[in-house]
Amino acid sequence: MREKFFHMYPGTKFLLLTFLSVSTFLIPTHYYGFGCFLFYILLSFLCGVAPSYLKSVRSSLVILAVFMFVMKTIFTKGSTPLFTVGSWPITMEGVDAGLLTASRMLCLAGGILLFFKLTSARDLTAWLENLKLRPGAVYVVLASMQMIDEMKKQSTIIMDAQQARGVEVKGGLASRFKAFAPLLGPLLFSAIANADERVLTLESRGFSSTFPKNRLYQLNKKPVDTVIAYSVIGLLLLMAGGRWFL
Amino acid sequence: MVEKIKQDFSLMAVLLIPASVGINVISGQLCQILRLPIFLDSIGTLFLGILAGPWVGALTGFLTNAINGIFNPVLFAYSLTSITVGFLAGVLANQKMFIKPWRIGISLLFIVLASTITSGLITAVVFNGATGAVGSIFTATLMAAGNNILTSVFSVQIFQEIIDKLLSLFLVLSLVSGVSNRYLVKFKNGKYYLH
Repeated sequence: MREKFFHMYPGTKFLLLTFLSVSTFLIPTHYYGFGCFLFYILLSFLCGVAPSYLKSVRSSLVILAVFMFVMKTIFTKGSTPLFTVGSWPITMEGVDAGLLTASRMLCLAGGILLFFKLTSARDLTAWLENLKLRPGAVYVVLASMQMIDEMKKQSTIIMDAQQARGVEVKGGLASRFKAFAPLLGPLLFSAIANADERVLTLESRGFSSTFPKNRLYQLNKKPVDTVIAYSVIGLLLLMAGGRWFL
Repeated sequence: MVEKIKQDFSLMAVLLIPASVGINVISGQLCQILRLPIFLDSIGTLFLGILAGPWVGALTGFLTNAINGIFNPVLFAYSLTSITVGFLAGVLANQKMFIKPWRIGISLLFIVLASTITSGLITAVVFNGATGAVGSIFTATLMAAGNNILTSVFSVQIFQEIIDKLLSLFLVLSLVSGVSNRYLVKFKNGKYYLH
């Protein structure tokens, strides 16, 4: 199962997960969104990426979903009051709207997150190049996502180094905020120096050359991927049509 | 026009886009974790916009929100604000508007107005004032006091944007003044900041 999903054509994986994410906006019930989210969690267990997926979900999506549920519930007016929090009446309609918003957010963001957990950087690069994107554009998109984790590690090293030089990085809000500038400078300057070296390296390897390039790693679409793609698009159009006319 | 845009995207600028996006994401997440009513997620955008031009700044802004939007879909809607800030910073930098203090003041005013208008409209029209950010609490309080949604949203937004952009621009211009001449000359607008 793990191998099947990991080696599935990235475009097909993207379409399937996008279909589930987008369809949640066409189905007016929060059970569908929460059901899709539980399916993502099950899929992550079957594919062996559950620990890292659940960690990402817990640290960002769940907190956000709860916050969006609370804000939507408070801001939605309704006619069936349940109880009051401070000066804000909480209604049944508000709770329904809050659950729908939270389920849609979990389904959409959970799907995108799972796609990146199930697809290696090599496959992503090959897929984007198959879509005829310029190599520079492919690099920018992928490196942007990878750079965040790298920079977080680098920022920890820089904070330790600055602390060894006497900069106070722990403590209250004010001291952590004051440590921000001494952290940002080295981070950015080291990025500029790295970029300069990378320019020389890439130019020496003909990165900017306009001649056609041969690729060591080939990613080919199978006929079944085309069948899945058309089926998914057809199903989505049917759902959109059903939602529009019914 | 296309040739001018291509000239902005030198290999140095292209390779710095991911790093700038990374800085935006980290600074933004730091402010979210500290529950500050500001964002600080446009430092990289302003930096590249000022040095490499408007199109690079706009793309950096868009990519920041696109990536942040993976974890928080609300932020994806604010791509327009980031694109506007990056583009405007580049346009102003092309006109040498970050060289003298009075010009920096005018540039700050333009950037604050542009980001307030775009963010305010997105918050009010797309999210009805509720985005899940700390500012939503202030907006809700103003609306509960009887103000209409646009007044409440813009009142909170302008306050946040003034502090956010003032801090961001101050940090960015300090960083630009710290970049070595050897690297500054490799950027389109780097010649204005040589020391």
